[in-house]
Amino acid sequence: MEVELPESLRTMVREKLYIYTGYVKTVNMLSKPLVVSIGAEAYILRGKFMEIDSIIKWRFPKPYMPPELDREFRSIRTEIEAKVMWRCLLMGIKTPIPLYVNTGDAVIIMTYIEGSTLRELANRIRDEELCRICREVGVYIAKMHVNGVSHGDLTTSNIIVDSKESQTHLIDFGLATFGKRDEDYAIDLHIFFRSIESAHIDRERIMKECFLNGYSSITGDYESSKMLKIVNDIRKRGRYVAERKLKSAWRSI
Amino acid sequence: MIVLGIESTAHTFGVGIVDDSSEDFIVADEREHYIPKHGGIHPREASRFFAEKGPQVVGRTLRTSKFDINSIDGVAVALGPGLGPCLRIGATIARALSIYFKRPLIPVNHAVAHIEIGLKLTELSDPVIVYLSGGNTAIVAYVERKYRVFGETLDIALGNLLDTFAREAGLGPPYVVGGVHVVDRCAEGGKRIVRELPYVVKGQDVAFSGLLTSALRMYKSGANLEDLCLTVREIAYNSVLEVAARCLMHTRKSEIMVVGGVAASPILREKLEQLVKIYNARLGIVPPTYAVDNGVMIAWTGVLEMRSGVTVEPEKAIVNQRWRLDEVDIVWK
Repeated sequence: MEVELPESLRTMVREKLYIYTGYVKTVNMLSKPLVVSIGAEAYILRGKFMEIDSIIKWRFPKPYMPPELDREFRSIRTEIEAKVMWRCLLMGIKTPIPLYVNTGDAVIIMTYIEGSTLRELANRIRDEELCRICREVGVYIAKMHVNGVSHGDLTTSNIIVDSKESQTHLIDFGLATFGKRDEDYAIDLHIFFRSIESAHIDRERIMKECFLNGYSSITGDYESSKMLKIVNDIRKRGRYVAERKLKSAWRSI
Repeated sequence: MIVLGIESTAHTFGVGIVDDSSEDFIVADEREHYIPKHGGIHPREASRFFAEKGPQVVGRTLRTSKFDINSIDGVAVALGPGLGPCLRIGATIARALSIYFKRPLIPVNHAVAHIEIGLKLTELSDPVIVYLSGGNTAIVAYVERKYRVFGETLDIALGNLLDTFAREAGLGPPYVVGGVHVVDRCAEGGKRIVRELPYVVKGQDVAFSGLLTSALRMYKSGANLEDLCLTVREIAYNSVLEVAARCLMHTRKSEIMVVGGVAASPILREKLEQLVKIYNARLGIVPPTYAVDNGVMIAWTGVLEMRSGVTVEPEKAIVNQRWRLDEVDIVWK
């Protein structure tokens, strides 16, 4: 698929970089990127940025939005995403490393992680391995929450286990936010649980238990059970959930 | 197979007759609308209106169809979700018809019916369904024998947001004039996006109550109404579009279908047309007449269910105000 890239990326493709390490080495600033996938708000491309295997996330302009609103959205989300990734890396959470951020064009270039998503792995790996990964995700998310960051889209597709060292990485911080609202934190748990229920229902128990185990190892049992209560509340907010209390007595006929 | 369907979930009492053997499958379609004098729908008042008009609508439908009640194979009724008192009127009439004329009674979920009539009329096979109405905002996709809710509103519905904003800002009722919502019309004069209004997408879900509250607060403190209309509309539509695009990518489907009362909006249609172009997908919009509540969609879903043997004993046909779309087993696909 051919994509009309923004100006900043097109310039980079033309640029060369001279590195002096006793002798002069010439490298491409950016090798021609190829589209890996297209998401709801961004193109995901892959290419070599200064010889580093990278992912380029470009939030493309949305023709159906008023241009002013569109530009603002894309630039704010790009900025927050990059900041959250840095914050996570500082906390010792493994995420891709942002190498280049351009809020004007809504581009982030970050390191590529070779591996498989938890979504692909969940139904084919052994219990102990699955538990280890989910526990680690729990630890990561708890660390983020304790530091006032929420992920916003914690599905099993956004968790990658790299193929070299089997380390767990979080990706796609496009909907992440800074803020100390329990509600936002609980949404992370809610989305993670829902993605387990929709795609890995057979491994539901082990995945949820191990996740919570990791989560409460950082926050403590009090905080994690408080979170679970909020998660329950959120579930009941959907349409026509029978569990929710009716204001009047149920008259059946 | 000929089925009579009764719809009475909110403000429309609709009766339709569908004949699946005929090319033009809709045989009769009669409706009565409860229009409140002021404010929103009062369930008790609406149900009184239904009780008064209901039997007349049934009679009228049979007369226009030229079918005798004895040639009808089944009676379908929307047992939920909806307003309790209103649902009970439709259910009572349907049970009476079923028992008296000894015809099988078919329980229909109102939301499933919206989708099924949409599929029939748009001729799409397996779309991502954007269900937008006064009471519902959901992005739905068919996966393994169920219409699953991919994302939905966590508080008020899109139609509810637009109507309430219009009412409080003195733009309506009526909310839809000449096929265009009054908020859309008012937005035409808007020049500037109001920065302070919140855009809330949480993963796959949306929420509109914060947007409504802030917009009304700004209206009361003297912000330009046309700018507010524009911003409210853009934020509301775009958050739904974003979730729809996410669902399209996630499920790898290649069609989008819009159902429900808000489907009639020309602005939304234009935005969706641009969206599907990006993803190389097809767009189907249910014609406005059948995108809103009606008896035909209940009758058509009744046909599909009856073919697969889904019926209910009249004494067990109890209304369920909170009958979620994803609780229904889709046995006819």
